[in-house]
Amino acid sequence: MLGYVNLDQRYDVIVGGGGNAGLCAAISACERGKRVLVLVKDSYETRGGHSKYAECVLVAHEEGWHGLRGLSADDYYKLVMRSSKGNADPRLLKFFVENSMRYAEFVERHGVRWINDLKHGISHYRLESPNRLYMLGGGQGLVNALYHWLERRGGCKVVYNAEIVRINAEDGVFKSLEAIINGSRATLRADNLILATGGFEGNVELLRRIWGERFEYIRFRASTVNTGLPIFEMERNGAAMVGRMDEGIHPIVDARVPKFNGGVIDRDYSIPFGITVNANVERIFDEGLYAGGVTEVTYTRILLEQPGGIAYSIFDSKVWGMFKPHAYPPIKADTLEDLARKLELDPDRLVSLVKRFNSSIVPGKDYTVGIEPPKSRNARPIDTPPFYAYPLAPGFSFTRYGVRVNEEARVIRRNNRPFENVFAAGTTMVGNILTGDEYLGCFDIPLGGFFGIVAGENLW
Amino acid sequence: MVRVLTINDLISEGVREYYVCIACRFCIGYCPVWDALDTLFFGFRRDSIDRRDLEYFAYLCHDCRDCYYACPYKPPHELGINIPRLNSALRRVVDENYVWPRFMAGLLRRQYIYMASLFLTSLALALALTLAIGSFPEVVSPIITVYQVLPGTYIDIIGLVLGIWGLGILIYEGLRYWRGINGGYGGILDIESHMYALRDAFTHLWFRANGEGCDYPGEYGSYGRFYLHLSMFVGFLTDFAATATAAYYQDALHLYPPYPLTSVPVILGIVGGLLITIGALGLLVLKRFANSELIDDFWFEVDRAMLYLLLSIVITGFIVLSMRGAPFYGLAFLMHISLVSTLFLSAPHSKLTHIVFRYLALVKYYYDKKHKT
Repeated sequence: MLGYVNLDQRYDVIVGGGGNAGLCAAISACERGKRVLVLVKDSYETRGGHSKYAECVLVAHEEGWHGLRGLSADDYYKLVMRSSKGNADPRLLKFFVENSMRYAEFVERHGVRWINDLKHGISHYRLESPNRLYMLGGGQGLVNALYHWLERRGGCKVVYNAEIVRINAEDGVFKSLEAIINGSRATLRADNLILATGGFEGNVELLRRIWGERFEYIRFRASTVNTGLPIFEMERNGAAMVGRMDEGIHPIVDARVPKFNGGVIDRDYSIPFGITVNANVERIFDEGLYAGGVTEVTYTRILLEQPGGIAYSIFDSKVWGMFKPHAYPPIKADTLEDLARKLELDPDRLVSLVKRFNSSIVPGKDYTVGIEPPKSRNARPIDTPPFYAYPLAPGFSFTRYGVRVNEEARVIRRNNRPFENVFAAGTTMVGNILTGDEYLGCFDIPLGGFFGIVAGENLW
Repeated sequence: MVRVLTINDLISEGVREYYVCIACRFCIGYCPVWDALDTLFFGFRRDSIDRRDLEYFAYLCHDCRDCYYACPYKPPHELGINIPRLNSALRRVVDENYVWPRFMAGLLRRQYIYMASLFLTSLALALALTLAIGSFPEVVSPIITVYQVLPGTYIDIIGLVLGIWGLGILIYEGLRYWRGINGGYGGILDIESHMYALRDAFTHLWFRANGEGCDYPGEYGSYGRFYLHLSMFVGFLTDFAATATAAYYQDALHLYPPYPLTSVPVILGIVGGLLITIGALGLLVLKRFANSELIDDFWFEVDRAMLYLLLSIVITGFIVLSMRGAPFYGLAFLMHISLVSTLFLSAPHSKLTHIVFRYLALVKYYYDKKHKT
């Protein structure tokens, strides 16, 4: 599985990164008869980078494809454009949405299967969205299938525990790179370089510098493997950059998840079903509007500004079972006073807050009047014991800062001319399309993979 | 998963791991455990997992292992999720808890010695019986039919008693398990759920993981265990059919053994024996290569003891078949039926408990699926 790497052999292409985008690029190049070397920083056991936490795939498709509700390329385009507040590169985005189906067909052809297609043992609660495909085995299932294809195919080498530390390019041409493989430094040469090494969502020092004291509040979903070093190496070699460095904060997560590498289990779904209070027992936003996309991001920023960066989602037994639970048991009590005591909140303030909230709900309606902030949707009185709470913290998904690319996935230099033989896919170039904190679920996996496929087709 | 020692530790570890799973749910589609977990939280709107749920999931799990390799939280991740190992440890708890009589649960940890003693005791008793009825000389001398050693009525009665012991206790243990996992009267009497469970058992549905195959013994989907276990299962049924046809020949048609090699009972017996041999040998080989981090050590002996016992039954069966009319034919026959009685006697305290427990877990799964709120 690991094998040795022949450093003298000249490869047609080195792919940096063993996540979804890197594997798609490697397979795409491998299928075209190229000699491919994939450098994976993860160990064999942890392989898959941030992609192993992916859940689903959203591509433009016809009504009824895999039993899904249709999504036209135009609608998909609008959806992404809205998520990026109009900042996406329109040509790249158009190119992607019109060809996004190619990604789904590509991974399907290479062993990935969809829960949507299965006959037995499927929970209808699972397929939450009517127009998305869910991978069997999730993101880890996805990357395992792609790795398996590469292993069976042979000829294309995957090396684990290999970190790219330096990239040498001259005049827009990639020459060589230095990598630390199993602890020893090596210089590798190839005709092409495809970078799919992710962002710096796991770079502890850099993130600490960017987020200052708030770093302590944030739970980072990625593993510390993703340091983004290759992106900065490309910047040093003259690549044009996109995106800002302080973006990527979302969604709201359970405060008890690991500081790093929490992945996909952390996300909160309870907020719209109750009230969210901070440590001073004040409601902090209009919970009814918390539902993915734009509000999710804004709300995560609001939570980040609360004392201690912590809040509590409080709800009652009426709504239990209507949303996905957290990876840790809810805090539960028979009275609001007891619940407040367990959360170390002021019991009197919580009781009076809930009372005010309950009485502000317009009878027979699901919104409130006369309280600030209002709850403008989904407002239900919190009155049926037992009462529950989840502690909440701001989460951080992935960074947007990366290299600019063109429609051949070639990295663009600051002089606006492309590198001859350097390509980027995945989170290294997601900033071309997604800017700001916003995020569209299940969109980044096909985006990253698609540009990987494209890169593999356009090699020197 | 840390190697836990006490049952309480194991239960809280199980609760911890399944909480992570309900928040992730990547594995839905591999097996019914994940659907059952969803049904628990969303269907029945439960807010916690307890020991009964874990015992139910434990046998709903077919040790397919796809979920382990698809888990981004498997070791070395700090959450260290290892559901196959957890479930195999919980199956140990189930077996030790619901085996009847309880004091015999310890025999699960002494399978080789237990089975060997049962075999030797059975053989000794059989020989004593031949002494008592005066057929001892036939044990070593060339004989035409085994009835010269033990009259048919004796064999029928012994078989009946052993069958009632084995099957009766197994069913009783199943009912204890059913009560333990809070199955209820509705489920056990629900014909539809039984039909689904029977379909799953006969087609080995969950050894195929929706066409993905089990990650057994290695990391990637394989139908190896599906074919081998199915081979053993069909072999078992075929040998049962061979016995039934022989009984029919004897009691209804008044044709008495030995039956010619081309007769239905003998052909069925040979085919069944070959299928069991292929299955048992194959499963032993797979075990050799399987990832031992994913299974509780407890099952090492329990699994293998049953496979060795089945193999020895088949081998002695073939020996009996080939020794007709030869000296020691009677002895070979007594050894064969002593091994068969070992299977029946040890059944309630051996690997065979998985037949009832797993079947009932499937019945509960289909009943719950139908009756969630």
